[in-house]
Amino acid sequence: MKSVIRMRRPAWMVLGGALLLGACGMKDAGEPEAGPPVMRRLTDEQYRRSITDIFGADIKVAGSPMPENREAGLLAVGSANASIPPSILEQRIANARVVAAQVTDAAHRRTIIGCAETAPGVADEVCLEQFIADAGRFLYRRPLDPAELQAQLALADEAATKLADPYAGVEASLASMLAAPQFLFRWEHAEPDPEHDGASRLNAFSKASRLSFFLWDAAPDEDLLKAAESGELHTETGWRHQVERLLASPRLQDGVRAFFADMLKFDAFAGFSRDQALFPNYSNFVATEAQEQTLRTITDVLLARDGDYRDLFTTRSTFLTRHLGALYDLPVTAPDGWTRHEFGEGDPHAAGILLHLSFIGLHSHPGRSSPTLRGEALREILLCQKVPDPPGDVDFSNFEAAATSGVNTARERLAAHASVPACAGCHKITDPIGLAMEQFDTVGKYRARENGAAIDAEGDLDGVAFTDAVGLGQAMRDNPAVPSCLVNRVYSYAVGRSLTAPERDWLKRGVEAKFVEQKYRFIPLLERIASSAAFTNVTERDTRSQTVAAVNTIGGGQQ
Amino acid sequence: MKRTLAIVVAALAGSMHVPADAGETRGFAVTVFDIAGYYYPNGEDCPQGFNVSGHYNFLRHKLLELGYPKKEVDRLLDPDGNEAGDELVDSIIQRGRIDGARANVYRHPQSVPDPHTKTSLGHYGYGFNLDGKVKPGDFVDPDSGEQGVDNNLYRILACTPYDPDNPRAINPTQSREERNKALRGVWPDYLIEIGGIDDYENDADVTVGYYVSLDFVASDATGRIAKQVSMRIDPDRRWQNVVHGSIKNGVLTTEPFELNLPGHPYHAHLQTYNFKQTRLRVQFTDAGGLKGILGGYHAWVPFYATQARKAWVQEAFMGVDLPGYYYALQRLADASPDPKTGQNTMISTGYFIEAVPANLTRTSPDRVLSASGSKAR
Repeated sequence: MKSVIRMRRPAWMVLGGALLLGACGMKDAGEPEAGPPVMRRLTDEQYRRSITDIFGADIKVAGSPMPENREAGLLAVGSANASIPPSILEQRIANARVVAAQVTDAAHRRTIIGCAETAPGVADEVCLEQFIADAGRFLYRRPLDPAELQAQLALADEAATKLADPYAGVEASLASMLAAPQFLFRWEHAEPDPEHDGASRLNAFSKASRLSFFLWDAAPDEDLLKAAESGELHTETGWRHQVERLLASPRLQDGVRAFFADMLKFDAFAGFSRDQALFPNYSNFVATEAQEQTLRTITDVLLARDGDYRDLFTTRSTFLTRHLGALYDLPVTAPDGWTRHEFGEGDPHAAGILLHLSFIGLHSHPGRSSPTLRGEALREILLCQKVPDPPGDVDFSNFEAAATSGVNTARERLAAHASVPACAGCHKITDPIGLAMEQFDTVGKYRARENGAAIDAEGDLDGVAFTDAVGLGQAMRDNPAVPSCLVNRVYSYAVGRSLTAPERDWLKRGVEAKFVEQKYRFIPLLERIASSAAFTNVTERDTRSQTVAAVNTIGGGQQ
Repeated sequence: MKRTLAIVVAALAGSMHVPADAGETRGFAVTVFDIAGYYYPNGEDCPQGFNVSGHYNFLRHKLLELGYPKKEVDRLLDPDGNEAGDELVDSIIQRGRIDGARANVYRHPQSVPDPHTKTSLGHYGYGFNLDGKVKPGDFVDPDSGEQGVDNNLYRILACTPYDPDNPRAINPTQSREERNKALRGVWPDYLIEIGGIDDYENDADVTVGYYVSLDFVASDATGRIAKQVSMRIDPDRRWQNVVHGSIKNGVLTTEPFELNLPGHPYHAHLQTYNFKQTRLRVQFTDAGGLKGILGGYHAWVPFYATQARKAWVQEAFMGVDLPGYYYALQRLADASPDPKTGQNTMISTGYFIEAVPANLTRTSPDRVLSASGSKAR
């Protein structure tokens, strides 16, 4: 019986609406020269999702959150320069054994491996060998090459013989592959492009992986692997079909969530805390819900409604649970789970995700708000503008004096920085933004006063003045750096590296302009990038020669 | 500006209708609903001494009182003796006599003579002057200074300590923290809604609603009952207690009302509360909640019935003489005489009330407070 490893196909509602079928052949005029292929470490989420997609949700996977490396504003870029720390590798190896044991145990082998006995008590070894090959294809995201397959079969044979159990052999092989760098890293390979003399392209399987992780944050499914094997991914029609298929799938939501979780720096929640004495309604559980609130709001605007990206800063709609309602002091009618909440016309909360705990709280101090941190976060995360670090010899005495001299509001405290030239230069580009959000405390609850004094929420963003956070949201909506930043981030995320100068130029003229023309809709942006030659063409440099983290594979193995 | 609001419920409710958008509406979730007692630290409120209480102390005292020899009492109270355990229980429960035959004393509390449970005779006690009279023995409220305070329910158990060696110690399993902890996540809460507030100092037209939640009590990260949690008001018609009021010099005066609530497993002694001539006196705390006193008359028989359901535990482990409790309730009942027997059927009560701010929501589109169906005697 052929093995029945299957990729997850959730019965979700397929996204409605026609996708943009833009004319998007291969290299357009003006597209930049290719960048290098990259090798990226699987994130913890991708690691777990890969195993669940291949072997089913019944297989328990232990995650191992790793120290992340953020470059060019994205973990997706930093992961190309990150190895796996030894302690995490140990956990990965241990988890590989646990997963392999589950897949081959009596409860799961029938449904996952699906090899019938050739005779009572006699396993179908040919079938089991085929299972190893099939599993390896999904795990490595490409067929095993002959040497790899031979090594795995030899390993399985040795284990099966020593343990007198053919399934022990399968278990040993699976454990080996689950701990191998070919699984733990997304390893891109280049090949000469036969259609463009002297140029290189990603090979078909690397294309499949890059596309799938970009749009689904997951390894390629069976359809995509088949398209790679058949050569379809090297044809314009075949590539476009896969791009459209992935964009139309409900799984696009996973990819979009993963992108924004990265861009909005949700990994910072790992070290996030609030002063419990001041904010007893805050907890780690609520922090998880706060991230979910923002991701639901984003996917609602960008996917479900196929809306304008800039609406994320002005929308009056969000999603709340009873716990978040208690944190924000907002009424929530649903006793459990999530409910949509619409703020009324003129409500001060109507600045979209800017006033979510995931932004306004994540960039505050544990016990008080911080206009500076909020302004800096807005500049760096949403406008892609670097705010210089404070000088090492900064003198806080004026600020501390102001904080204890009876001033009541953050605006009054921060005024001390304006008198220090070394401070003023940066604070003038952050504080006028952050002060507009001062009517929301460090967990995002609205307040009109601080220490009894009325809060003045006036501010400005690059010369555009406003009187409160709603005005800031509108200023963001109208700021040309907002769509520009998003376009750059999405492309970097897709290709896994920082932008080159020619890429920036091309993105500005060729992608951002289209994004604006298409009313800032996110799905067409994804389609534009995925369909570009820049997404799949690479330089000759091959990652095989890159140094990888040493892996103690279980019994033999290969590199 | 600190807002101080004292609400005093004063007279009978009539029907009225308050538009939802008239004035400010504030919601609260009740965190404390305890019998309001003023316990003198050195027991001066129990000049006759404390009642025998404590684990097995009461049983030993009762057995000796029934005439059992000391040696027999020691045998019956031996914790290792199974037979003695059954005998002990039987001896205590069946100590009643009706026409000479043994009787279950919890079911028939008058099958034993009145043991004259000692009750509080203190000068101070929380509550309200419910009957409008200042009688000898009435309390003076230590906070409001009100004279003629009627709170006889509190008197009955005031001189029965949990720990005989430390008469004013609180049973840790019955502390407010433990009781609140037991409710979180498993039991609904009482809710208070104050609507139509235009001026917290003087407002001739406000409405107070006392409800029950559909949602369970929620905790915050510190383990306390969480503030600002959304709580749905149970639309069950039995628990819609709404009354009109007015604020004068920071004191809210409402028409007295009948308060009907389901009981709590810990907060309450009853399966349902049915207070008459209910009065409520609270003020806003700095944390935006409420704190004060609720008082009114309540039928006394259900209080006994509730205790009698766990009578063995009450006697053997808490040392509360159940027939004594019955006789005391009967003796101290102070309102609503039975037309045939003349025996008062209701007893005056006082309860501590504390509440935290909450977002109250309704499951139906109708968000209007109405005072229909609220009447007091």
